[in-house]
Amino acid sequence: MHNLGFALDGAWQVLLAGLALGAGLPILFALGIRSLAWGAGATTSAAAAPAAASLVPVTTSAVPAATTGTVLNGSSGPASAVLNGSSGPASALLNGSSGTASAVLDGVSGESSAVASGPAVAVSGPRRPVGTALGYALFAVVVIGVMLGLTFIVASGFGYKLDFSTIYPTLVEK
Amino acid sequence: MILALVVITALAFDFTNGFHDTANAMATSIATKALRPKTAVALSGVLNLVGAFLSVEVALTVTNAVVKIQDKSGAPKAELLADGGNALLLIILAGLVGGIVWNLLTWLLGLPSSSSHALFGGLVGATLAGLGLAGVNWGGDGSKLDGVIGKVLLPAVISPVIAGVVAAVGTWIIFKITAGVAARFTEQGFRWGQIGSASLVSLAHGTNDAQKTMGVITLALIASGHWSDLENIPLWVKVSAAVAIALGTYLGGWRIIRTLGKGITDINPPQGTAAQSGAAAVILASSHLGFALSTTHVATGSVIGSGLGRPGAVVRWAVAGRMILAWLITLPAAGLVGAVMFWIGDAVGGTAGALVVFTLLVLASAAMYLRSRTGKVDHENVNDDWDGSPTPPAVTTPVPAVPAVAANVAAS
Repeated sequence: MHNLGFALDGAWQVLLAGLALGAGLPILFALGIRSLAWGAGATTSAAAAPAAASLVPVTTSAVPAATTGTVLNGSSGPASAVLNGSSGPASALLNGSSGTASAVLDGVSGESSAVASGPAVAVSGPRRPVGTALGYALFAVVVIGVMLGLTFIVASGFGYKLDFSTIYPTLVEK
Repeated sequence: MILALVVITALAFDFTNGFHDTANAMATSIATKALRPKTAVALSGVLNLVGAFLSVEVALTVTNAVVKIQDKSGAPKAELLADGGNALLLIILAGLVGGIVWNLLTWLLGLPSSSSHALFGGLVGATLAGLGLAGVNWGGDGSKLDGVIGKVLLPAVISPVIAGVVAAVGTWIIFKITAGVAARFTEQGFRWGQIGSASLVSLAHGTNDAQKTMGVITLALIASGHWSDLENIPLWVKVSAAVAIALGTYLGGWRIIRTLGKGITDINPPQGTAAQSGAAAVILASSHLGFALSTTHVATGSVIGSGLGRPGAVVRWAVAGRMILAWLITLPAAGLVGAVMFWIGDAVGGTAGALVVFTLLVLASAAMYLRSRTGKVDHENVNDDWDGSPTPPAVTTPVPAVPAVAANVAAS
Protein backbone atom coordinates (compact mmCIF):
# COMPACT_ATOMS: atom_id res chain seq x y z
CA MET A 1 0.00 0.00 0.00
CA HIS A 2 2.91 2.35 0.55
CA ASN A 3 3.34 2.58 -3.21
CA LEU A 4 -0.24 3.71 -3.64
CA GLY A 5 0.28 6.40 -1.04
CA PHE A 6 3.46 7.62 -2.71
CA ALA A 7 1.78 7.52 -6.10
CA LEU A 8 -1.26 9.50 -5.00
CA ASP A 9 0.94 11.97 -3.17
CA GLY A 10 3.02 12.51 -6.29
CA ALA A 11 -0.01 12.48 -8.57
CA TRP A 12 -1.76 15.51 -7.15
CA GLN A 13 1.47 17.49 -7.21
CA VAL A 14 2.02 16.55 -10.83
CA LEU A 15 -1.60 17.44 -11.56
CA LEU A 16 -1.26 20.88 -10.00
CA ALA A 17 2.03 21.57 -11.77
CA GLY A 18 0.58 20.22 -14.99
CA LEU A 19 -2.48 22.45 -14.74
CA ALA A 20 -0.38 25.51 -13.92
CA LEU A 21 2.13 25.00 -16.70
CA GLY A 22 0.56 22.59 -19.15
CA ALA A 23 -2.80 24.32 -19.23
CA GLY A 24 -1.80 27.73 -17.90
CA LEU A 25 0.84 28.55 -20.48
CA PRO A 26 -1.32 27.57 -23.48
CA ILE A 27 -4.13 29.67 -22.00
CA LEU A 28 -1.79 32.65 -21.78
CA PHE A 29 -0.74 31.88 -25.34
CA ALA A 30 -4.39 31.89 -26.43
CA LEU A 31 -4.95 35.18 -24.65
CA GLY A 32 -1.92 36.52 -26.49
CA ILE A 33 -3.39 35.45 -29.80
CA ARG A 34 -6.70 37.05 -28.98
CA SER A 35 -4.96 40.25 -27.92
CA LEU A 36 -2.96 40.26 -31.11
CA ALA A 37 -6.08 39.83 -33.19
CA TRP A 38 -7.81 42.56 -31.24
CA GLY A 39 -4.79 44.79 -31.65
CA ALA A 40 -4.85 44.25 -35.41
CA GLY A 41 -8.43 45.42 -35.52
CA ALA A 42 -9.84 42.01 -36.26
CA THR A 43 -12.71 41.86 -33.90
CA THR A 44 -15.85 39.90 -33.85
CA SER A 45 -19.28 40.84 -32.79
CA ALA A 46 -21.93 38.93 -30.98
CA ALA A 47 -23.38 36.03 -32.79
CA ALA A 48 -26.87 37.23 -32.11
CA ALA A 49 -26.48 40.43 -34.08
CA PRO A 50 -29.25 40.92 -36.58
CA ALA A 51 -28.52 39.97 -40.10
CA ALA A 52 -29.60 43.35 -41.38
CA ALA A 53 -26.68 44.99 -39.65
CA SER A 54 -24.11 42.64 -41.00
CA LEU A 55 -23.32 44.27 -44.30
CA VAL A 56 -19.91 45.64 -43.64
CA PRO A 57 -17.80 47.30 -46.28
CA VAL A 58 -14.14 46.55 -46.14
CA THR A 59 -11.76 49.38 -46.71
CA THR A 60 -9.54 47.88 -49.29
CA SER A 61 -9.97 50.35 -52.04
CA ALA A 62 -6.28 50.49 -52.77
CA VAL A 63 -6.12 46.81 -53.36
CA PRO A 64 -7.19 45.47 -56.70
CA ALA A 65 -9.88 42.92 -56.43
CA ALA A 66 -7.71 40.43 -58.21
CA THR A 67 -5.39 40.25 -55.21
CA THR A 68 -8.17 39.87 -52.77
CA GLY A 69 -8.41 36.52 -51.10
CA THR A 70 -11.23 35.11 -49.16
CA VAL A 71 -10.60 32.37 -46.71
CA LEU A 72 -13.33 30.42 -45.21
CA ASN A 73 -12.53 28.71 -42.02
CA GLY A 74 -15.06 26.86 -40.10
CA SER A 75 -13.51 26.06 -36.84
CA SER A 76 -15.61 25.67 -33.81
CA GLY A 77 -16.82 28.47 -31.67
CA PRO A 78 -19.61 30.96 -32.07
CA ALA A 79 -20.49 31.77 -35.60
CA SER A 80 -18.82 34.96 -36.59
CA ALA A 81 -17.18 36.50 -39.53
CA VAL A 82 -14.09 38.60 -39.39
CA LEU A 83 -13.06 40.89 -42.11
CA ASN A 84 -9.74 42.52 -42.01
CA GLY A 85 -8.70 44.41 -45.01
CA SER A 86 -6.82 47.22 -43.51
CA SER A 87 -3.51 46.55 -45.18
CA GLY A 88 -1.88 44.41 -47.74
CA PRO A 89 -3.89 42.09 -49.88
CA ALA A 90 -7.39 42.26 -48.63
CA SER A 91 -8.59 39.13 -47.03
CA ALA A 92 -12.00 38.32 -45.80
CA LEU A 93 -12.02 35.70 -43.16
CA LEU A 94 -15.19 34.01 -42.34
CA ASN A 95 -15.00 31.96 -39.25
CA GLY A 96 -18.19 30.35 -38.28
CA SER A 97 -19.37 27.03 -37.20
CA SER A 98 -23.01 27.50 -37.79
CA GLY A 99 -25.48 29.68 -39.49
CA THR A 100 -25.29 30.81 -43.05
CA ALA A 101 -22.85 33.30 -44.32
CA SER A 102 -21.80 34.55 -47.68
CA ALA A 103 -19.00 36.70 -48.90
CA VAL A 104 -19.32 38.85 -51.94
CA LEU A 105 -16.41 40.72 -53.40
CA ASP A 106 -16.94 43.62 -55.62
CA GLY A 107 -14.05 43.63 -58.00
CA VAL A 108 -15.11 46.64 -60.03
CA SER A 109 -14.27 49.32 -57.57
CA GLY A 110 -11.71 47.37 -55.74
CA GLU A 111 -13.85 47.32 -52.68
CA SER A 112 -14.66 44.18 -50.88
CA SER A 113 -17.75 43.60 -48.92
CA ALA A 114 -19.09 40.77 -46.96
CA VAL A 115 -22.65 39.88 -46.56
CA ALA A 116 -23.43 37.72 -43.65
CA SER A 117 -26.84 36.52 -42.91
CA GLY A 118 -28.01 34.77 -39.81
CA PRO A 119 -25.65 34.76 -36.87
CA ALA A 120 -22.43 35.28 -38.80
CA VAL A 121 -21.31 38.87 -38.45
CA ALA A 122 -18.32 40.65 -39.84
CA VAL A 123 -16.67 43.58 -38.19
CA SER A 124 -13.43 45.36 -38.82
CA GLY A 125 -11.97 47.90 -36.51
CA PRO A 126 -9.06 50.22 -36.05
CA ARG A 127 -5.64 48.98 -35.00
CA ARG A 128 -5.06 48.96 -31.26
CA PRO A 129 -1.38 49.09 -30.26
CA VAL A 130 -2.28 48.22 -26.69
CA GLY A 131 -3.68 44.89 -27.83
CA THR A 132 -0.62 44.13 -29.89
CA ALA A 133 1.70 45.01 -27.01
CA LEU A 134 -0.34 42.94 -24.58
CA GLY A 135 -0.29 40.02 -26.99
CA TYR A 136 3.47 40.06 -27.28
CA ALA A 137 3.83 40.49 -23.51
CA LEU A 138 1.77 37.35 -23.00
CA PHE A 139 3.86 35.52 -25.59
CA ALA A 140 6.96 36.60 -23.66
CA VAL A 141 5.59 35.00 -20.49
CA VAL A 142 5.00 31.79 -22.41
CA VAL A 143 8.52 31.88 -23.82
CA ILE A 144 9.88 32.30 -20.29
CA GLY A 145 7.90 29.23 -19.28
CA VAL A 146 9.35 27.25 -22.17
CA MET A 147 12.85 28.45 -21.30
CA LEU A 148 12.23 27.26 -17.75
CA GLY A 149 11.33 23.85 -19.12
CA LEU A 150 14.48 23.79 -21.24
CA THR A 151 16.56 24.84 -18.25
CA PHE A 152 15.06 22.06 -16.21
CA ILE A 153 15.87 19.42 -18.86
CA VAL A 154 19.45 20.57 -19.28
CA ALA A 155 20.02 21.07 -15.55
CA SER A 156 18.65 17.62 -14.73
CA GLY A 157 21.06 16.08 -17.18
CA PHE A 158 23.98 17.75 -15.46
CA GLY A 159 22.95 16.79 -11.96
CA TYR A 160 21.14 19.97 -10.96
CA LYS A 161 17.54 20.69 -10.19
CA LEU A 162 15.40 23.79 -10.18
CA ASP A 163 14.69 25.13 -6.74
CA PHE A 164 11.54 27.20 -6.33
CA SER A 165 11.99 28.02 -2.65
CA THR A 166 12.86 31.59 -3.55
CA ILE A 167 10.84 34.03 -5.62
CA TYR A 168 12.77 33.18 -8.73
CA PRO A 169 13.94 29.66 -9.64
CA THR A 170 17.55 28.77 -8.93
CA LEU A 171 19.73 25.80 -9.81
CA VAL A 172 20.92 23.60 -6.98
CA GLU A 173 22.84 20.34 -6.98
CA LYS A 174 20.75 17.23 -6.57
CA MET B 1 30.26 -13.29 -28.18
CA ILE B 2 27.26 -13.12 -25.83
CA LEU B 3 28.30 -9.62 -24.84
CA ALA B 4 28.38 -8.56 -28.49
CA LEU B 5 24.89 -9.95 -29.00
CA VAL B 6 23.64 -8.10 -25.92
CA VAL B 7 25.14 -4.83 -27.12
CA ILE B 8 23.65 -5.21 -30.61
CA THR B 9 20.29 -6.18 -29.18
CA ALA B 10 20.34 -3.27 -26.73
CA LEU B 11 21.04 -0.83 -29.55
CA ALA B 12 18.28 -2.45 -31.58
CA PHE B 13 15.93 -1.91 -28.65
CA ASP B 14 17.05 1.70 -28.47
CA PHE B 15 16.28 2.06 -32.17
CA THR B 16 12.78 0.64 -31.74
CA ASN B 17 12.33 2.88 -28.71
CA GLY B 18 13.08 5.85 -30.95
CA PHE B 19 10.68 5.07 -33.77
CA HIS B 20 8.03 3.83 -31.39
CA ASP B 21 8.05 7.08 -29.47
CA THR B 22 8.33 9.59 -32.31
CA ALA B 23 4.57 9.84 -32.19
CA ASN B 24 4.60 11.02 -28.59
CA ALA B 25 6.17 14.30 -29.57
CA MET B 26 5.25 14.77 -33.18
CA ALA B 27 1.95 13.04 -33.98
CA THR B 28 -0.18 16.10 -33.28
CA SER B 29 2.13 18.47 -35.16
CA ILE B 30 2.03 16.16 -38.17
CA ALA B 31 -1.73 15.71 -37.96
CA THR B 32 -2.41 19.45 -37.91
CA LYS B 33 0.25 20.04 -40.58
CA ALA B 34 2.08 22.40 -38.26
CA LEU B 35 5.13 20.55 -39.53
CA ARG B 36 5.60 18.44 -42.62
CA PRO B 37 5.99 14.79 -41.65
CA LYS B 38 9.63 14.48 -42.67
CA THR B 39 10.50 17.79 -41.04
CA ALA B 40 8.81 16.70 -37.83
CA VAL B 41 10.69 13.41 -37.52
CA ALA B 42 13.97 15.09 -38.45
CA LEU B 43 13.47 17.75 -35.76
CA SER B 44 12.52 15.12 -33.22
CA GLY B 45 15.52 12.98 -34.17
CA VAL B 46 17.94 15.86 -33.74
CA LEU B 47 16.42 16.83 -30.38
CA ASN B 48 16.60 13.23 -29.18
CA LEU B 49 20.25 13.13 -30.20
CA VAL B 50 20.96 16.37 -28.36
CA GLY B 51 18.95 15.19 -25.37
CA ALA B 52 20.89 11.96 -25.13
CA PHE B 53 24.12 13.91 -24.80
CA LEU B 54 22.70 16.47 -22.39
CA SER B 55 22.53 14.05 -19.53
CA VAL B 56 25.75 13.16 -17.78
CA GLU B 57 24.02 11.21 -15.05
CA VAL B 58 24.58 7.46 -15.21
CA ALA B 59 21.40 5.41 -15.48
CA LEU B 60 23.34 2.34 -14.42
CA THR B 61 20.73 1.24 -11.93
CA VAL B 62 17.87 1.31 -14.40
CA THR B 63 17.00 -2.38 -13.92
CA ASN B 64 16.71 -1.94 -10.14
CA ALA B 65 13.26 -0.50 -10.68
CA VAL B 66 11.83 -3.92 -11.44
CA VAL B 67 14.40 -6.70 -10.92
CA LYS B 68 17.14 -7.58 -8.47
CA ILE B 69 20.15 -8.30 -10.63
CA GLN B 70 22.20 -5.33 -9.41
CA ASP B 71 22.96 -3.83 -6.05
CA LYS B 72 22.26 -0.22 -5.16
CA SER B 73 25.57 0.97 -6.54
CA GLY B 74 24.80 -0.57 -9.90
CA ALA B 75 27.23 -3.46 -9.60
CA PRO B 76 25.85 -6.84 -10.74
CA LYS B 77 24.90 -9.34 -8.05
CA ALA B 78 27.95 -11.50 -7.32
CA GLU B 79 26.06 -14.77 -7.69
CA LEU B 80 25.27 -13.93 -11.30
CA LEU B 81 28.86 -13.36 -12.30
CA ALA B 82 30.00 -16.95 -12.51
CA ASP B 83 31.01 -18.23 -15.92
CA GLY B 84 31.92 -14.78 -17.18
CA GLY B 85 28.55 -13.34 -16.18
CA ASN B 86 26.75 -15.42 -18.78
CA ALA B 87 23.68 -15.92 -16.58
CA LEU B 88 23.22 -12.19 -16.21
CA LEU B 89 23.93 -11.56 -19.88
CA LEU B 90 21.30 -14.10 -20.88
CA ILE B 91 18.71 -12.46 -18.62
CA ILE B 92 19.48 -9.08 -20.15
CA LEU B 93 19.45 -10.48 -23.68
CA ALA B 94 16.15 -12.29 -23.20
CA GLY B 95 14.64 -9.21 -21.55
CA LEU B 96 15.72 -6.99 -24.42
CA VAL B 97 14.27 -9.44 -26.93
CA GLY B 98 10.97 -9.35 -25.04
CA GLY B 99 10.97 -5.56 -25.22
CA ILE B 100 11.83 -5.42 -28.91
CA VAL B 101 9.28 -8.04 -29.96
CA TRP B 102 6.51 -6.23 -28.08
CA ASN B 103 7.60 -2.87 -29.51
CA LEU B 104 7.53 -4.26 -33.04
CA LEU B 105 4.21 -6.01 -32.58
CA THR B 106 2.51 -2.91 -31.20
CA TRP B 107 4.09 -0.86 -33.99
CA LEU B 108 2.70 -3.30 -36.53
CA LEU B 109 -0.72 -2.87 -34.99
CA GLY B 110 -0.27 0.89 -34.81
CA LEU B 111 -0.64 0.96 -31.04
CA PRO B 112 1.25 3.46 -28.92
CA SER B 113 2.58 1.48 -25.97
CA SER B 114 5.36 2.25 -23.56
CA SER B 115 8.85 1.18 -24.64
CA SER B 116 10.04 1.47 -21.06
CA HIS B 117 7.31 -0.84 -19.88
CA ALA B 118 8.14 -3.26 -22.68
CA LEU B 119 11.77 -3.32 -21.53
CA PHE B 120 10.76 -3.72 -17.91
CA GLY B 121 8.31 -6.46 -18.86
CA GLY B 122 10.96 -8.34 -20.79
CA LEU B 123 13.40 -8.06 -17.90
CA VAL B 124 10.80 -9.17 -15.37
CA GLY B 125 9.90 -12.20 -17.50
CA ALA B 126 13.50 -13.20 -18.08
CA THR B 127 14.32 -12.73 -14.40
CA LEU B 128 11.30 -14.77 -13.32
CA ALA B 129 12.45 -17.55 -15.61
CA GLY B 130 16.04 -17.30 -14.46
CA LEU B 131 15.86 -16.43 -10.79
CA GLY B 132 12.27 -17.05 -9.78
CA LEU B 133 9.82 -14.82 -7.94
CA ALA B 134 12.46 -13.57 -5.51
CA GLY B 135 14.41 -12.02 -8.38
CA VAL B 136 11.70 -9.48 -9.11
CA ASN B 137 11.34 -6.19 -7.27
CA TRP B 138 7.58 -6.16 -6.90
CA GLY B 139 6.98 -3.28 -4.53
CA GLY B 140 10.30 -1.86 -3.35
CA ASP B 141 11.30 -1.51 0.30
CA GLY B 142 8.58 0.92 1.26
CA SER B 143 10.82 3.98 1.40
CA LYS B 144 9.79 5.36 -1.98
CA LEU B 145 7.76 4.71 -5.10
CA ASP B 146 9.48 1.61 -6.43
CA GLY B 147 9.17 -1.82 -7.96
CA VAL B 148 6.84 -3.21 -10.58
CA ILE B 149 3.86 -1.75 -8.76
CA GLY B 150 5.33 1.67 -8.06
CA LYS B 151 7.34 2.22 -11.24
CA VAL B 152 5.15 0.50 -13.79
CA LEU B 153 1.60 -0.35 -12.80
CA LEU B 154 0.50 2.69 -10.80
CA PRO B 155 2.02 5.29 -13.17
CA ALA B 156 0.41 3.47 -16.09
CA VAL B 157 -2.99 4.04 -14.52
CA ILE B 158 -2.46 7.50 -13.08
CA SER B 159 -0.32 9.37 -15.61
CA PRO B 160 -2.71 9.22 -18.62
CA VAL B 161 -5.52 10.48 -16.41
CA ILE B 162 -3.46 13.41 -15.17
CA ALA B 163 -2.31 14.29 -18.68
CA GLY B 164 -5.84 13.93 -19.98
CA VAL B 165 -7.28 16.28 -17.36
CA VAL B 166 -4.58 18.88 -18.00
CA ALA B 167 -5.07 18.74 -21.77
CA ALA B 168 -8.86 18.76 -21.52
CA VAL B 169 -8.89 21.81 -19.26
CA GLY B 170 -6.34 23.59 -21.45
CA THR B 171 -8.20 22.80 -24.66
CA TRP B 172 -11.59 23.80 -23.31
CA ILE B 173 -10.39 27.17 -22.06
CA ILE B 174 -8.33 27.85 -25.19
CA PHE B 175 -11.39 27.33 -27.36
CA LYS B 176 -13.41 29.62 -25.14
CA ILE B 177 -10.75 32.32 -25.37
CA THR B 178 -10.19 32.11 -29.10
CA ALA B 179 -13.81 31.68 -30.12
CA GLY B 180 -14.43 33.96 -33.05
CA VAL B 181 -10.81 34.99 -33.52
CA ALA B 182 -9.83 34.93 -37.17
CA ALA B 183 -8.22 31.74 -38.33
CA ARG B 184 -5.15 33.56 -39.61
CA PHE B 185 -4.28 34.39 -36.03
CA THR B 186 -5.16 31.09 -34.41
CA GLU B 187 -3.76 28.74 -37.05
CA GLN B 188 -0.40 30.44 -37.32
CA GLY B 189 -0.08 31.21 -33.63
CA PHE B 190 -0.90 27.76 -32.38
CA ARG B 191 1.30 26.26 -35.06
CA TRP B 192 4.28 27.77 -33.27
CA GLY B 193 2.86 26.72 -29.94
CA GLN B 194 2.72 23.15 -31.15
CA ILE B 195 6.25 23.15 -32.51
CA GLY B 196 7.65 24.58 -29.28
CA SER B 197 5.88 22.14 -26.98
CA ALA B 198 6.60 19.16 -29.22
CA SER B 199 10.28 20.08 -29.22
CA LEU B 200 10.31 20.08 -25.44
CA VAL B 201 8.82 16.59 -25.37
CA SER B 202 11.42 15.36 -27.88
CA LEU B 203 14.28 16.78 -25.87
CA ALA B 204 12.98 15.34 -22.61
CA HIS B 205 12.54 11.97 -24.31
CA GLY B 206 16.15 11.96 -25.47
CA THR B 207 17.47 12.74 -22.01
CA ASN B 208 15.41 9.98 -20.40
CA ASP B 209 15.09 7.03 -22.73
CA ALA B 210 18.56 6.86 -24.26
CA GLN B 211 19.94 6.67 -20.75
CA LYS B 212 18.16 3.39 -20.15
CA THR B 213 19.93 1.66 -23.00
CA MET B 214 23.23 3.15 -21.94
CA GLY B 215 22.68 1.73 -18.47
CA VAL B 216 21.79 -1.73 -19.76
CA ILE B 217 24.83 -1.91 -22.05
CA THR B 218 27.14 -0.72 -19.30
CA LEU B 219 25.69 -3.30 -16.92
CA ALA B 220 26.46 -6.00 -19.48
CA LEU B 221 30.01 -4.68 -19.86
CA ILE B 222 30.52 -4.78 -16.10
CA ALA B 223 29.02 -8.27 -15.80
CA SER B 224 31.39 -9.59 -18.46
CA GLY B 225 34.40 -7.86 -16.92
CA HIS B 226 34.91 -5.31 -19.69
CA TRP B 227 34.17 -2.25 -17.55
CA SER B 228 34.46 -1.51 -13.84
CA ASP B 229 33.66 2.17 -13.37
CA LEU B 230 30.29 2.57 -11.68
CA GLU B 231 30.34 6.35 -11.99
CA ASN B 232 30.84 6.71 -15.71
CA ILE B 233 29.91 4.97 -18.90
CA PRO B 234 32.13 4.42 -21.94
CA LEU B 235 31.93 7.17 -24.54
CA TRP B 236 31.20 4.72 -27.32
CA VAL B 237 28.18 3.48 -25.39
CA LYS B 238 26.86 7.00 -25.05
CA VAL B 239 27.46 7.83 -28.70
CA SER B 240 26.04 4.60 -30.08
CA ALA B 241 22.91 4.75 -27.90
CA ALA B 242 22.32 8.40 -28.78
CA VAL B 243 22.71 7.73 -32.49
CA ALA B 244 20.48 4.64 -32.34
CA ILE B 245 17.57 6.43 -30.66
CA ALA B 246 17.96 9.43 -32.96
CA LEU B 247 17.98 7.27 -36.09
CA GLY B 248 14.98 5.36 -34.83
CA THR B 249 13.16 8.61 -34.17
CA TYR B 250 14.02 9.89 -37.63
CA LEU B 251 12.75 6.69 -39.21
CA GLY B 252 9.39 7.56 -37.68
CA GLY B 253 6.93 4.96 -36.50
CA TRP B 254 4.35 6.16 -39.00
CA ARG B 255 1.71 3.65 -38.00
CA ILE B 256 1.75 4.89 -34.43
CA ILE B 257 1.96 8.51 -35.51
CA ARG B 258 -1.15 7.94 -37.59
CA THR B 259 -3.06 6.36 -34.72
CA LEU B 260 -2.12 9.07 -32.25
CA GLY B 261 -2.56 11.95 -34.68
CA LYS B 262 -5.58 10.83 -36.67
CA GLY B 263 -7.12 7.82 -34.99
CA ILE B 264 -8.07 8.92 -31.51
CA THR B 265 -9.63 12.22 -32.44
CA ASP B 266 -9.39 14.87 -35.15
CA ILE B 267 -6.88 17.41 -33.97
CA ASN B 268 -6.54 21.06 -34.90
CA PRO B 269 -3.70 23.42 -33.91
CA PRO B 270 -5.18 24.80 -30.68
CA GLN B 271 -5.89 21.25 -29.56
CA GLY B 272 -2.41 20.13 -30.57
CA THR B 273 -0.85 22.95 -28.57
CA ALA B 274 -2.91 22.08 -25.51
CA ALA B 275 -2.13 18.38 -25.83
CA GLN B 276 1.62 18.82 -26.33
CA SER B 277 1.94 21.50 -23.66
CA GLY B 278 0.06 19.30 -21.23
CA ALA B 279 2.29 16.36 -22.06
CA ALA B 280 5.48 18.40 -21.75
CA ALA B 281 4.42 19.91 -18.42
CA VAL B 282 3.37 16.58 -16.94
CA ILE B 283 6.57 14.85 -18.09
CA LEU B 284 8.82 17.59 -16.72
CA ALA B 285 6.87 17.98 -13.47
CA SER B 286 6.95 14.23 -12.92
CA SER B 287 10.64 14.10 -13.59
CA HIS B 288 11.20 16.97 -11.16
CA LEU B 289 9.14 15.29 -8.44
CA GLY B 290 10.59 11.81 -9.02
CA PHE B 291 7.27 10.42 -10.18
CA ALA B 292 7.99 7.70 -12.74
CA LEU B 293 5.81 7.66 -15.81
CA SER B 294 5.78 6.70 -19.44
CA THR B 295 6.03 9.37 -22.12
CA THR B 296 3.68 7.32 -24.27
CA HIS B 297 0.95 7.16 -21.66
CA VAL B 298 1.20 10.87 -21.03
CA ALA B 299 1.15 11.80 -24.72
CA THR B 300 -1.80 9.54 -25.41
CA GLY B 301 -3.72 10.75 -22.38
CA SER B 302 -3.14 14.32 -23.54
CA VAL B 303 -4.51 13.63 -27.00
CA ILE B 304 -7.61 11.99 -25.56
CA GLY B 305 -8.00 14.91 -23.15
CA SER B 306 -7.73 17.43 -25.96
CA GLY B 307 -10.49 15.54 -27.77
CA LEU B 308 -12.70 15.65 -24.70
CA GLY B 309 -11.99 19.33 -24.12
CA ARG B 310 -12.82 20.60 -27.58
CA PRO B 311 -16.50 21.36 -28.00
CA GLY B 312 -17.99 19.11 -30.63
CA ALA B 313 -14.97 16.85 -30.99
CA VAL B 314 -15.35 13.10 -31.08
CA VAL B 315 -13.02 10.66 -29.33
CA ARG B 316 -12.90 7.28 -31.02
CA TRP B 317 -13.13 5.15 -27.93
CA ALA B 318 -12.71 1.95 -29.89
CA VAL B 319 -9.20 3.05 -30.86
CA ALA B 320 -8.46 4.36 -27.40
CA GLY B 321 -9.74 1.11 -25.91
CA ARG B 322 -7.36 -0.95 -28.03
CA MET B 323 -4.48 1.19 -26.83
CA ILE B 324 -5.45 0.88 -23.20
CA LEU B 325 -5.72 -2.87 -23.65
CA ALA B 326 -2.22 -2.86 -25.13
CA TRP B 327 -0.96 -0.95 -22.09
CA LEU B 328 -2.50 -3.46 -19.76
CA ILE B 329 -0.88 -6.43 -21.43
CA THR B 330 2.49 -4.82 -22.21
CA LEU B 331 4.13 -6.05 -19.03
CA PRO B 332 2.87 -9.66 -19.14
CA ALA B 333 3.25 -9.96 -22.92
CA ALA B 334 6.83 -8.68 -23.04
CA GLY B 335 7.48 -10.70 -19.90
CA LEU B 336 6.22 -13.87 -21.53
CA VAL B 337 8.50 -13.37 -24.52
CA GLY B 338 11.41 -12.61 -22.20
CA ALA B 339 10.75 -15.72 -20.14
CA VAL B 340 10.43 -17.99 -23.17
CA MET B 341 13.62 -16.56 -24.63
CA PHE B 342 15.47 -17.19 -21.40
CA TRP B 343 14.23 -20.77 -21.21
CA ILE B 344 15.27 -21.43 -24.80
CA GLY B 345 18.67 -19.82 -24.35
CA ASP B 346 19.24 -21.59 -21.06
CA ALA B 347 18.15 -24.95 -22.46
CA VAL B 348 20.54 -24.69 -25.39
CA GLY B 349 23.18 -23.20 -23.13
CA GLY B 350 26.23 -20.97 -23.49
CA THR B 351 27.01 -18.98 -26.58
CA ALA B 352 24.89 -21.26 -28.75
CA GLY B 353 21.86 -20.48 -26.57
CA ALA B 354 22.40 -16.74 -26.94
CA LEU B 355 22.81 -17.19 -30.69
CA VAL B 356 19.52 -19.08 -30.90
CA VAL B 357 17.75 -16.33 -28.97
CA PHE B 358 19.25 -13.68 -31.22
CA THR B 359 18.30 -15.65 -34.34
CA LEU B 360 14.72 -15.95 -33.13
CA LEU B 361 14.67 -12.19 -32.62
CA VAL B 362 15.92 -11.59 -36.16
CA LEU B 363 13.32 -13.97 -37.59
CA ALA B 364 10.46 -12.43 -35.61
CA SER B 365 11.57 -8.92 -36.56
CA ALA B 366 11.87 -9.83 -40.24
CA ALA B 367 8.44 -11.46 -40.23
CA MET B 368 6.82 -8.38 -38.70
CA TYR B 369 8.66 -6.07 -41.07
CA LEU B 370 7.48 -8.07 -44.07
CA ARG B 371 3.96 -8.09 -42.69
CA SER B 372 4.13 -4.32 -42.38
CA ARG B 373 4.69 -3.99 -46.14
CA THR B 374 1.04 -4.85 -46.55
CA GLY B 375 -0.91 -1.71 -45.87
CA LYS B 376 2.21 0.35 -45.61
CA VAL B 377 1.98 3.63 -43.72
CA ASP B 378 4.60 6.28 -44.32
CA HIS B 379 5.06 10.03 -44.46
CA GLU B 380 2.93 10.27 -47.58
CA ASN B 381 -0.25 8.72 -46.27
CA VAL B 382 0.12 9.24 -42.54
CA ASN B 383 -2.48 12.01 -42.60
CA ASP B 384 -5.08 10.24 -44.71
CA ASP B 385 -8.55 10.13 -43.31
CA TRP B 386 -8.94 7.53 -40.62
CA ASP B 387 -10.39 4.24 -41.91
CA GLY B 388 -10.33 5.64 -45.41
CA SER B 389 -13.55 7.50 -44.93
CA PRO B 390 -13.55 11.27 -44.66
CA THR B 391 -14.04 12.22 -41.09
CA PRO B 392 -16.11 15.22 -40.16
CA PRO B 393 -13.93 18.28 -40.41
CA ALA B 394 -13.48 20.63 -37.53
CA VAL B 395 -16.47 22.64 -38.66
CA THR B 396 -19.52 20.93 -37.42
CA THR B 397 -21.85 22.70 -39.83
CA PRO B 398 -20.91 23.78 -43.34
CA VAL B 399 -21.54 27.31 -44.48
CA PRO B 400 -23.56 26.75 -47.58
CA ALA B 401 -23.66 30.12 -49.23
CA VAL B 402 -19.99 30.88 -49.30
CA PRO B 403 -17.91 28.11 -50.83
CA ALA B 404 -18.51 28.90 -54.47
CA VAL B 405 -17.65 32.54 -54.10
CA ALA B 406 -14.93 31.99 -51.59
CA ALA B 407 -13.29 29.26 -53.60
CA ASN B 408 -13.29 31.33 -56.72
CA VAL B 409 -11.78 34.30 -55.04
CA ALA B 410 -9.24 32.26 -53.14
CA ALA B 411 -8.19 30.59 -56.37
CA SER B 412 -7.54 33.95 -57.94
